[in-house]
Amino acid sequence: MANLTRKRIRLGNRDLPFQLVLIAFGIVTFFPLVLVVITSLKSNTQFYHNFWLPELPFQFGNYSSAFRIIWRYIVNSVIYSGSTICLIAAIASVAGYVFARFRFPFKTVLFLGFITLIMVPGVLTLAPRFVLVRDLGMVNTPFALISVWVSGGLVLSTWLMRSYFESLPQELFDAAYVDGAAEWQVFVYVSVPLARPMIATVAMTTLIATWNDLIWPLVTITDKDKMPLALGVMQFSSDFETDWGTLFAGYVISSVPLLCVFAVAMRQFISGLTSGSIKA
Amino acid sequence: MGGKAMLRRLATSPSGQVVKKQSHSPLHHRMWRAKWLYLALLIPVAMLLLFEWLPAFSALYNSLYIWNGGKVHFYVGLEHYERMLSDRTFRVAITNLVGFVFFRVIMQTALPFFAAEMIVNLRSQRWSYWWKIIFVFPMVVPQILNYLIWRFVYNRQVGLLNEGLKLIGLEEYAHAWLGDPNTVMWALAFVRFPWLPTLQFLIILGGLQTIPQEVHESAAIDGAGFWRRLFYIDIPMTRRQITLAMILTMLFMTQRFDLFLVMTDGGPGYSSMVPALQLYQSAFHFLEFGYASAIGVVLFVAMLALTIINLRVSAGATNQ
Amino acid sequence: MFKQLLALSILLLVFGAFTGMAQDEITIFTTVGGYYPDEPTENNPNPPKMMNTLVAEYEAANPGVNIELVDVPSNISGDQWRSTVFNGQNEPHIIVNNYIRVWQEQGNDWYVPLNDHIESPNPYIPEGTPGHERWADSIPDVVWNTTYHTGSGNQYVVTVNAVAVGFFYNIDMLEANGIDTAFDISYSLWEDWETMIGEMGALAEAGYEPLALSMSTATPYTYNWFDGTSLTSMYIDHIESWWEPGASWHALNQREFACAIQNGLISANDDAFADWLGLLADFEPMWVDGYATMTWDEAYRLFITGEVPFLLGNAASNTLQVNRDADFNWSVSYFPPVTETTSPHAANNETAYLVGGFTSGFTVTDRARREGIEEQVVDFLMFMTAQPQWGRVVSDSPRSIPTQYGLDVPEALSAALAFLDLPIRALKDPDPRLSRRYGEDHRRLMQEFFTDQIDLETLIAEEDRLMTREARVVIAENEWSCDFQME
Repeated sequence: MANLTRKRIRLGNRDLPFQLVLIAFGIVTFFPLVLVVITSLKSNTQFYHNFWLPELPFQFGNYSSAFRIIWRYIVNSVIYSGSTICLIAAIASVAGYVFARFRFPFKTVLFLGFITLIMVPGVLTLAPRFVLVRDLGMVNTPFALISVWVSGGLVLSTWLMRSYFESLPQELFDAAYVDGAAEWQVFVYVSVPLARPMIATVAMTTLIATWNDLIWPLVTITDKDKMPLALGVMQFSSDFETDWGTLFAGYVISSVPLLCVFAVAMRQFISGLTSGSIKA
Repeated sequence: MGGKAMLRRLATSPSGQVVKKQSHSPLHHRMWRAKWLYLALLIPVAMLLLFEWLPAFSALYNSLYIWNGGKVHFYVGLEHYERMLSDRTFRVAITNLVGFVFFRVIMQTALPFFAAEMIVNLRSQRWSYWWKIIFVFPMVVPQILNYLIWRFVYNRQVGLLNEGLKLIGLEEYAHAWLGDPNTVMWALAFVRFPWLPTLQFLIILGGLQTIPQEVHESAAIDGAGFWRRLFYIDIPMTRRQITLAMILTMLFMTQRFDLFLVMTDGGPGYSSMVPALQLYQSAFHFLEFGYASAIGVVLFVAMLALTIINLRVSAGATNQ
Repeated sequence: MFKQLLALSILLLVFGAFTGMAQDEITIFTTVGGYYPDEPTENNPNPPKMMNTLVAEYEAANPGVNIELVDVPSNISGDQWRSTVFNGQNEPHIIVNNYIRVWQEQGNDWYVPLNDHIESPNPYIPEGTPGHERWADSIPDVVWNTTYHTGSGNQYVVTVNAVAVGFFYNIDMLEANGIDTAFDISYSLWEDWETMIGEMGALAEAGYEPLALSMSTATPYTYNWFDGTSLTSMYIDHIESWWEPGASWHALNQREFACAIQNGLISANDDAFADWLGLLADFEPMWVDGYATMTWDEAYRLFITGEVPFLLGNAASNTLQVNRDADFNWSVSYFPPVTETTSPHAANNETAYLVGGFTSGFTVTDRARREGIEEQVVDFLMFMTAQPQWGRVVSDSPRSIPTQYGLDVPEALSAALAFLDLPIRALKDPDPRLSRRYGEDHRRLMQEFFTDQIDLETLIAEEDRLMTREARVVIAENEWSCDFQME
């Protein structure tokens, strides 16, 4: 956060024009979100006749309908995404640390084995991956989701963690070594606390990716009681028609847990990504 | 555990230079000394091999076969790759993609850069902080929801864009943006405008924030104005972040198919078809998993090549 | 730290491997399409719920058998879901499926042939009702013939739903524009195709967009519903020579159409084919702007808000919706006959056709065989589709016309039911006509033509190439002989 307190050289008071442009940006960016809330308060008829403006009476019933149906999926999703985040944070920290701090044979090859996976189109690997997960007996269990989400998330997360650990000054570690700390102690007591912002970043990106994932749960979880939220919300649009108000209310409700996490982890998340350590 | 001391010796400084003198012992010796490191990487490497690389290699393998996702499975060698050369749909798809990616890469790098530039230049630190939060916030919205909303924006009859045109008296330009082959790719390229992609935005912002204050101070003393500073200091000094933002955008956009599937299904005709969507359709509509895999392999190779070129160009420019 | 993680991961894997093993009870998974019992919401207070009752009854009568209903999102992910679960052998035992997909996929042995099962008695059908002695008798032959897979000689689908497509029209709006809205069941709202084009043209002159429809495959699309009807009319004089020997009027199966192409009985270079393309080109200006990428819901909205006087929709399921949402007088008609006034090739065409037909039904999947519970699965299917049960499903949720004999059809479906008296089209939607590949590419070619990306000459050349290629592929895949047409 040191950067926030730095004074900038400016030619006069430039804030006003910048602020105006940013406000314009902000309004356009946020308009769709406002629209989601507006639509969530409409009946189908209101929605058909008036797309853009809010209309009385507000259908707050959409929220109770949606919540009554999807609350249990929220619980599921919290469990699935929560375990995924914990595992990724732990594994990616270790892996990122190893890649950042050590030199060993085949390091480059191994690391490329992580990073090039960004370029493999996911839709291509869906079927083979499903066969694999089935052979492991994981279909219709949380492990089908967690194992694949963790391995998929590791790609970006390990790279982020590695970049961050690389940017930490060597003196911090030297001090710990001088005090006689073992490597694992350096990792647990020095590196991890320092990397908290980047761990928050990894957690947030993982949360959002898993929370909204649709196709993988669709093929692996057929048991209604085990479905994650993204699938649960889908049931408001059916073969015959879409219940727009309830669907959008469902989306609003489903983003509430994300908002809570966002509120708590935001500062860390932003400072993790803006640390300047992430570059080509 | 004697391993600790060995690990210490393997530790490098961030710049990559070896703290202890590099050993010239045989490979297996060095590998044995790094055994704890390999063990530490065991879980992630095993997981990636199992859940990522194995499926990826089976796709590579299947690209040499005709496979309908079921029983029909026989070797055809490079036939799918030959077919791609003469496939009109694939040709159109590639053309569409090149334009789309080119535009999105510029848009998704330039917009975050300018927004970040404005934010770091704000006098009010409090506002600067709040703007970051405001622009990062939309990432909680599921992608599918964004597409639904943007369908409404481009809708012919009640779409926001046409309503806006009507409002400013340009009614004659109002039309079905997604239903017209001349405008559909532009419409898709502007989906979510001017949203700032979170990752790219924060990475560039991070780059700008770490430019040492003294650099700007001395530039100001030399009388450099805003634009001079932008082109001679800010852009060159965040080159690596900008390159990364471009690469990431390129990778994400090349693989994107849900946008096209939900908004236009590649139509009208083939005018918004892209390779990723063709891959999806080949596999799941026509059960041509072999051909789909071949398209995937070509996309992978293209992305890899573009990434390497991009990195080389960027590194070359930095070294000058 | 990583040691604990390692232990944890192994534990997870082992635990995962044990779940899903060892069941002493039979569990049958089934999808039920639009009859899935969703939970009620403010806007949808009466979702279908009869399936729950049926499941409870069946489970009570068959201790040790569990029925699990599976909800598959009907949208774009359906195809992806199906091929993935089949690939991973985790498909439900019973799947609601479209017969064209079954044809496309049957070579994989994903579906169990029901040939013998439908010949046996269905104990759940009461004595005296068709089907009690022989299950197949509960459903008309025309349904079986349409969905039968010629290549393998197998019947994979039990089709219990009929679809009738109609023109929904806004009576208030049409009468305000001086158009007579008296609908005659013997032809249509109009006497012939030209009258329809004329009246829609007048509406277009008056500043309306006459017809709302969707031509985007991303959603259920409605364009293809008149594609086959008009093509049938244009080839009315020739269709008889395409039939297999001894057949009477029927919807052509894949083999007959593919062979007709192979044998040069139909070609994109025909005059009749050019006339057909001309008919579609004359019709296209009447469609709402943006139809090529419009979703069904967007088209529906235009009709409901009174912006567009005509809507192409499902006369059964959409009737419920329009009933609820429309605040004007409306009715539902169907496509007028294409006659001599449109093209000399249609001179001998006397009738309008039923657009729609028998699209989706229940298939039993290979999983039933793998698990050795085929008999039990078929038994449940017999139970579910028997008239006493299916009748309750349909009256609870009147969204499709039941095909079974001896069912009271709910009042809401009466209009659609009347349409079923019309003769069936000989040439079906583009997909089941030849192949999914053909359907998809044909639709895109027509879009390119309509949006002026290609001219008529190119369209004909491309269509010719496409039809010839797909006919060859389909014939080769099934190892068909086409000699029967050459007598």
